[in-house]
Amino acid sequence: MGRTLGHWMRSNGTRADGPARHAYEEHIGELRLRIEAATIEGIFAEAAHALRELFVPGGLDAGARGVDETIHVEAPDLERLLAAWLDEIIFRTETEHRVFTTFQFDRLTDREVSARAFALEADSIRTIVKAATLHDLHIKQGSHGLSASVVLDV
Amino acid sequence: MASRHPSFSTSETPPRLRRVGNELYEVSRTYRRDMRASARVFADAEQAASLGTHDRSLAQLINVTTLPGIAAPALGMPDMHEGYGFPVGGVAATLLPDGVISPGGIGFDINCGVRLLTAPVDVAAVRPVLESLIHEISRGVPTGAGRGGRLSVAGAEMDRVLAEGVPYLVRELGQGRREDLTYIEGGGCLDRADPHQVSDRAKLRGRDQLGTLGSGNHFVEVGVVDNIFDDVAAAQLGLAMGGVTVLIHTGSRGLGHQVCTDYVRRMDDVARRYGIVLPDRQLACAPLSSPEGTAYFAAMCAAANFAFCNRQVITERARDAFRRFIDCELSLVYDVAHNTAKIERAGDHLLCVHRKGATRAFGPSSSEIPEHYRGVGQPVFIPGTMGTASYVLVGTDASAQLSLSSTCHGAGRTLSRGAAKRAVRGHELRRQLEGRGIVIRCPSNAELAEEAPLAYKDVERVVDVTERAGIAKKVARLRPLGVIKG
Repeated sequence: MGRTLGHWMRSNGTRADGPARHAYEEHIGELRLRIEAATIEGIFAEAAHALRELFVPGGLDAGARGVDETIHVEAPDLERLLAAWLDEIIFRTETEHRVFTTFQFDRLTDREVSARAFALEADSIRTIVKAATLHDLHIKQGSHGLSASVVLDV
Repeated sequence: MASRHPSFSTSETPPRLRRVGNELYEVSRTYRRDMRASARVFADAEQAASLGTHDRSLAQLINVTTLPGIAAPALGMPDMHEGYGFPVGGVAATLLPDGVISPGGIGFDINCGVRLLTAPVDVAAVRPVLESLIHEISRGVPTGAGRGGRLSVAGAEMDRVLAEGVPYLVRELGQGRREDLTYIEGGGCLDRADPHQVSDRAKLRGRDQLGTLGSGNHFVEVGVVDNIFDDVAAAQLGLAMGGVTVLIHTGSRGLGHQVCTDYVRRMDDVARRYGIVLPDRQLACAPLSSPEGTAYFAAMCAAANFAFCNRQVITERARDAFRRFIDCELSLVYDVAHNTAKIERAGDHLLCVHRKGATRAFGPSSSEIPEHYRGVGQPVFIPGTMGTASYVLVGTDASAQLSLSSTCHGAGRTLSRGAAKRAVRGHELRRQLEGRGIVIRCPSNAELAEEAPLAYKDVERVVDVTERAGIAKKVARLRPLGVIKG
């Protein structure tokens, strides 16, 4: 069980924006996604961007039509919230055939995230990610910002 | 034997594995205070010596022994490898009524499984039309979103698929033959299924996915029988040297994934209420007798029925292609699940047997297998890789005691997908396979490389360990001719 968002905010003092990045770490059976960002919003957005890469490995079609959506997810703690956020994006991508490209967070607490998102239609989505697991799921404060790790079932 | 195990933390003493049977090794339940049973792994001596040195599968199996109500050692099959929560290739039985059921012990792809079909023709009849045949099957069986011969179901029709399984498809929708039902585990319908326990989100996710493969290691493979180890059993299963086969490997698609997601969350929410403390959150569970446990079991059975139906629809697309190009009918040998929980009797006890990447393998005297296979054993299919071979086995009566009537389900990964892609380039692998006469259909070279033969253990060794351990018997080997990869 990780620390609370309140802890991050106290530790960071401010939630400055900054560069975010993600990578896939070795996992024999599945995909372990590691994300680094300056802010918790950056962690959530970058995790979603990583999913988009998996859904459309060949990139987006030129001229794809876009639509604004709102995403609201609740969970009992911050780690579960990250998993639920990813699961919501997996669900919408698979059922709506759209991938999410940008996010604006209206509210992000330990237990709730509300965001406005821009989604593009994608014809050739690979339904490659089944779900975000709770296995080894964590969000940590490091010396240079936040990091998160989540194992995706693929 | 004892060695440093990177998968165990530096504060933990690595487990000592003790040989307790043929190709069977045990970690004592005294290894960790929270263990409620021992952990046993089927492996040869060399595999046992390296268990836990390259992945966390042994540590995960030890975690499984902490499940409340576990009634026998947690078991690792010969193809065990690292998963999440349970290892892939993990088996655990809990004592009913109050033992737990864990959605993570079944996995997101509920009733991922394999079915084998045979064609009444020799490989010589297929060779001239192989390219066209594979192309036709790939046109009819989409991998996911996009084109193809999927069957869309929603509303009341979806509920009937979930509640009634393959019998509904055959009877009402004309998808298959009545005799197919005899050769599917559970007759293609798990009768505890309740569609009302499946969320609307899960039904929406599965709406357009009947008849689709999905991705990862899912496939349709046209092959040829190139070795027979047991003439009597092979004849009973309808397998002859040079005969043509079709293997189908897929599961419950997005519907099953969503069922697992929904109930892992729900059980994680209530674990504390039931006094359950677990070393891994993905092991989230609840007593099967609880409202959450009962609801999950009913939803899981419904998702399992959806998976049986998915493989049935794909079978019909394969049958269409064989009729068109070879003018012959495919017959179903058997369809077996490898991601389920089943209520099974062991002596006077009823157990909830979780199999995650493991195959039920009832022996020849079981009354739960088709009459045609009694005296031989339940067919079991062990897919290898697209460049090696797959195996047909049958269950043994001894497996009831040794492995909760379970056996392996595949070769077992040994390299991550990233490592596989670094080790071999997709286009080179495609050229190698095509150079050996294997026709490949795959969405991309990168995804082909992820499933390269070198990413997996040696399937022959896995199967040999299985046989020497006495938990299944080799019947025949299948060599791939053409593969449609999900």
